[in-house]
Amino acid sequence: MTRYVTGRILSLLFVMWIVSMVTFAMMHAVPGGPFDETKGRLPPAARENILRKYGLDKPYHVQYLNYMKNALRLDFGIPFSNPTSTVTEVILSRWRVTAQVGILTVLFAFGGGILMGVFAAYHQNSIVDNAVTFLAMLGVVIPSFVVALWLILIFAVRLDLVPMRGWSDSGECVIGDIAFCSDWILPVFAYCIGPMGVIGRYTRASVVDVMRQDYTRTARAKGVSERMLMFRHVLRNAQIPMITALATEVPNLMTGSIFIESTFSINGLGKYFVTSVFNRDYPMIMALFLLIAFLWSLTYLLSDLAYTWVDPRVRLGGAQGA
Amino acid sequence: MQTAATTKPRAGSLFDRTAKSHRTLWHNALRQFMRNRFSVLGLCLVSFFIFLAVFANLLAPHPYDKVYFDRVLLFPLEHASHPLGTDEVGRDYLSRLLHGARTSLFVGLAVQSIAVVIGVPVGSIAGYMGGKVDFVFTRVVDIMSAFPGLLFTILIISLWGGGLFKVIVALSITSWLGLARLTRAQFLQLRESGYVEAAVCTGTPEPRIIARHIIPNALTPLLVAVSFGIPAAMYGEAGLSFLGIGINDPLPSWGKMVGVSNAYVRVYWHLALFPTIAIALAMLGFSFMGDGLRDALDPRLIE
Repeated sequence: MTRYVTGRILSLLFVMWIVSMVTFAMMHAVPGGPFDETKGRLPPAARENILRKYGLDKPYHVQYLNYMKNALRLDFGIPFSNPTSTVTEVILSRWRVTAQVGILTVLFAFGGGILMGVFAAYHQNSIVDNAVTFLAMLGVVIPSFVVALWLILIFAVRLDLVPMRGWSDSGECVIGDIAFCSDWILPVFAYCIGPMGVIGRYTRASVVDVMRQDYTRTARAKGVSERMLMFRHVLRNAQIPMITALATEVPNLMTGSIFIESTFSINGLGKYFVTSVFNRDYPMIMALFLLIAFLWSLTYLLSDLAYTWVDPRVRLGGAQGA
Repeated sequence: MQTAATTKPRAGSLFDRTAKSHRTLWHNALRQFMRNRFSVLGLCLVSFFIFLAVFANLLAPHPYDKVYFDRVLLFPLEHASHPLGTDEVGRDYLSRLLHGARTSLFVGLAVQSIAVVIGVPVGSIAGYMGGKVDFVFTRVVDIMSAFPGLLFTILIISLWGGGLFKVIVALSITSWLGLARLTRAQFLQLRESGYVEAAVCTGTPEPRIIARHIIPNALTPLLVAVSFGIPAAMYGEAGLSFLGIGINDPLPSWGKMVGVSNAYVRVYWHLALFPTIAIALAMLGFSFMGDGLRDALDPRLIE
């Protein structure tokens, strides 16, 4: 087990290294740099000074080595577009907003998705089941920005119930007093419909599968109440596909949806990524790519470990045994 | 007598086989597909969508890029010749929607064609050769999967600039991975099958084994994957255009129409409503069709 985890962590580091190299190479592969057009035409001397200050006058491999040397000490540099703070500070402050949206969305998506899935599976092949399956399908295939606009059209424009956009930047609207502010309703709802559909489908499929098993029939035959049957026997055995769903959705939700953030003018990480890319803000791009690649790889690793925890029959790392 | 008795059933079975030849995989699949109401609905939506895309220039009442400076931001039915109104610079909205279908379908088909042309050969080679080739392939695919897909596409677009062909290439870079992985898995599985072993034993040359035994059997999962890949590419194009970095003006794109309408939605609701409905219907159509194809072509599900 230890050997397996060490191997996985090493391969994670390897992947991160490749990601950093490819991203770096791609950023510099095309002519043009971050200080070509901003602030009008800089006099050549001033431009050279700026380039020297950020080390952009050095050969690429030196720049890359410098960057990596600092990155290993968790110093990701200074964003060109916001030179008074560090990349880490900027990311953390943006992430605060994104994480608020993300956490609420995860809660709603999983709560709703699992309820929908279990409900549909319990009433298999009935009208309710078909309706839930159809709704989940709608949620999965319709892009979130389309749903977001429909919600705006209905609830903000037509009924005028909730504000159209916005999410307080300063974090005034924290999870604690979420009940008192209605900013979050539309973005979270628009955002969670897709993942909710995915989770609902996974849950339904795996619950249906477990309900066909012999041990479910046995449990029912020996007189276990329906509620106990669902919670103790069916749901516990149906967890693995749910963990898969969790693993694929959480990194997405935590790094924010570019679409939701730009539709609702939320100043989160996703929206900031697009601006950084277009400003050629090299340190920001590198840091965001590394962060997201890291989150992805980490969630895959954790979800593989979670399988063994949930289902002791699963063995990792081939046939070497426990 | 003896010989007659033995030849007769053989002739009969031969005859039976020709009589039953209509019950091939494809025929079964078609019946299975037609029995499912949702997949038929999907097929209808997709056919309608393709019809609009193909005949967009005949169906559209105005050229998609013609600007009527005196008819900016008309509501639907406000002007007799603009049934769905006009957009923020005075172009006929219906014509732009129709041509948007063409853009969307073109991107979807082009991206998937590139994905097939790259993914299937690469996956086949990795799956059939095994060993070191396969090891290198799996590493490369693993690393490429670690790149956040949409963000990577945005990075590429930001370097190259937008536009129809650049969008297609940028989306193709990430979209062949799934097909390659699927092809590899199919090859690994089929290489071990009894009939391939039998073919090897009878001395069939390798290219023939691949062409006659493995590829036909790997075809149905690939077909299903492609049928889901087309709407995925269309979604990608709509997303990029929504962010304003996809298709360039004056070429219409549904995603771009949605993105632009975002600023006008409080008053000019029609700008947001029609393209979102179009995107949703196209996505639903392709997904229903894909689901139907998967159910129809997966022999494990046929009783």
